[in-house]
Amino acid sequence: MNGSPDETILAAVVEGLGQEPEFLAGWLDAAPDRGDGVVRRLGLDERRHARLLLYRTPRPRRFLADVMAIAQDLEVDRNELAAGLRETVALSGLAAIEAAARGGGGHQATRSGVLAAAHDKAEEQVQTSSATITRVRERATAFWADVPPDVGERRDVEAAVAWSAPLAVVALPALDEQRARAWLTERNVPLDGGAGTRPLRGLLHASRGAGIAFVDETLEHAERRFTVAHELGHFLFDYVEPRDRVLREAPALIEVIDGWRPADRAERAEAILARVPLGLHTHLLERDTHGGAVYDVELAEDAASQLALELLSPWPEALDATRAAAAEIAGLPFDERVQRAAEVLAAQFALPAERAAVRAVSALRALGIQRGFFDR
Amino acid sequence: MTDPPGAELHVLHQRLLAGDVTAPRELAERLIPLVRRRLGQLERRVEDPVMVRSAIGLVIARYLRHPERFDPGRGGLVGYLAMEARGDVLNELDALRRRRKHERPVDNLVELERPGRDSTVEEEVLERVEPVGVPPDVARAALQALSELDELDRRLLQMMADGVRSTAAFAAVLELSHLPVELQRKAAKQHKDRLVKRLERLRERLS
Repeated sequence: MNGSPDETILAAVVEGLGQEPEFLAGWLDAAPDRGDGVVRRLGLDERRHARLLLYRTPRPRRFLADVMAIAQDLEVDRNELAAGLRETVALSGLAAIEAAARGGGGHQATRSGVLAAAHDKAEEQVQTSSATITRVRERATAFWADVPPDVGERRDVEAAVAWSAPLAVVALPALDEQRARAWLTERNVPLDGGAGTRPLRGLLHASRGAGIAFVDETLEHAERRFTVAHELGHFLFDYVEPRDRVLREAPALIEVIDGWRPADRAERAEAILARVPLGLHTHLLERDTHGGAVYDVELAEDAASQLALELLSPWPEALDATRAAAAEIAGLPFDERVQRAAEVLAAQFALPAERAAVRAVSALRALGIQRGFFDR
Repeated sequence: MTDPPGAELHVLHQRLLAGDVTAPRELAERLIPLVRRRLGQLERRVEDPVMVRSAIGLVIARYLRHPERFDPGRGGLVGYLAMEARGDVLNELDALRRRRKHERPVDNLVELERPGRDSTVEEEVLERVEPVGVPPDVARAALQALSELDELDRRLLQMMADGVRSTAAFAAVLELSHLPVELQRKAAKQHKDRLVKRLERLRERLS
């Protein structure tokens, strides 16, 4: 920041805001990568970097409006700014919980505050669970309501995530735990724990109210979209919702959830009475010895996949598309109708083939088209 | 604020008070040349002009952090900031003079702590103070009359009325859980203080 006198003063202003939690100077200064990621992502020179630090941080529940205002003022790509800020926050959250786990002001058991959900390459069933349908549809509607109109029109789920949830999406080639950890270590977030090399489509880390969803960069377009939406489902249902419930029903317990300290006996009792799950810190990496998912994992995968389907192919639109296709496929055997309807849905909503087939079966059923006696 | 850019600065000041995210950047860049021009003579007179420029920067930062401390009824913003910066520079020059006067040979030097600026002292105090206590009954009664508050403030106030003292809980509502604990504490304190002031005004009105 040497150069013209004004820049010296500007640097002093930035310095004066460096410890302020409600200025980007404070956020980026506290980040493990000191905000390098967002600066690099936006391609900022020194002067515009200083400008970035002068903005106030986006206010709670006003992320969309505030980030759009900053992007316009700074003349940068708004999607990149949103994604960069989410990444900075998620890195800070992971670094904080890791520091606490290492004994820097927290408790040894706090690493359990990091939720890790692995989504492996084994085939999973996307079941229709009536209990979750309403919740899923409301979530999906709320999700798209919080994104810029053009992102919503394109149904660009990867760009939309940064706007609608405190979640960063990072694409890495040939994703496995080891690569994800290496990426974090390069940004001064050295997470301990497993460093497996089992190929993954997606991997989620969440702590302190934010998360990072890693996705395999080599996935085919439709599969990648579904994986991002699926990891978002894990983040919202298995992390954000329980944490929000804790905050509403037993706010002091957030210190336990966020890893500041362990729960005492009274708090455990309080948590049980208030039905707040202290068992929030689920590690969905665990699989049973037969290679299938344990029951809890199946439930979680189900809700996450349901949300992914709803985000990518909203039910009313999927139904309309299937209805339009149904007239042309009348008279065909049920399996062929499913296949044709699935092709239509896959093409219209960029869904992976097997997910489109699940959606097609549900939509055909809703239209009163089911497997008949002679289709068995 | 009657000087030529006064009207423009007044609008920016109001936006800053309202929490507008881009107002600090706009104000900083607008104010830097204006305040510097006011202190041109001082900058030419002092031995180290960087001292003046740093003071201007820090005074502007202080204003951006606490815009409510500026009272538009008592004069223009540029004059106010120039006066603050001039005061800081003169204080620093005094301190420098005193240090030079008491300089000893190197082998007798005792390292002294730098005198803290006001903001540093405030920060230290902030870290030590207990969360602001508001009698829950007063907070609850006032809550009824605070329908004009936005959703976030209503939630924070509800937590205060419920006797929540956890900094982590306030930080979570403010979506600042990712920050270090001292910054979380600072933010929670700032918001609680702001709401307490609002409550006090309301209480006066109610009584």
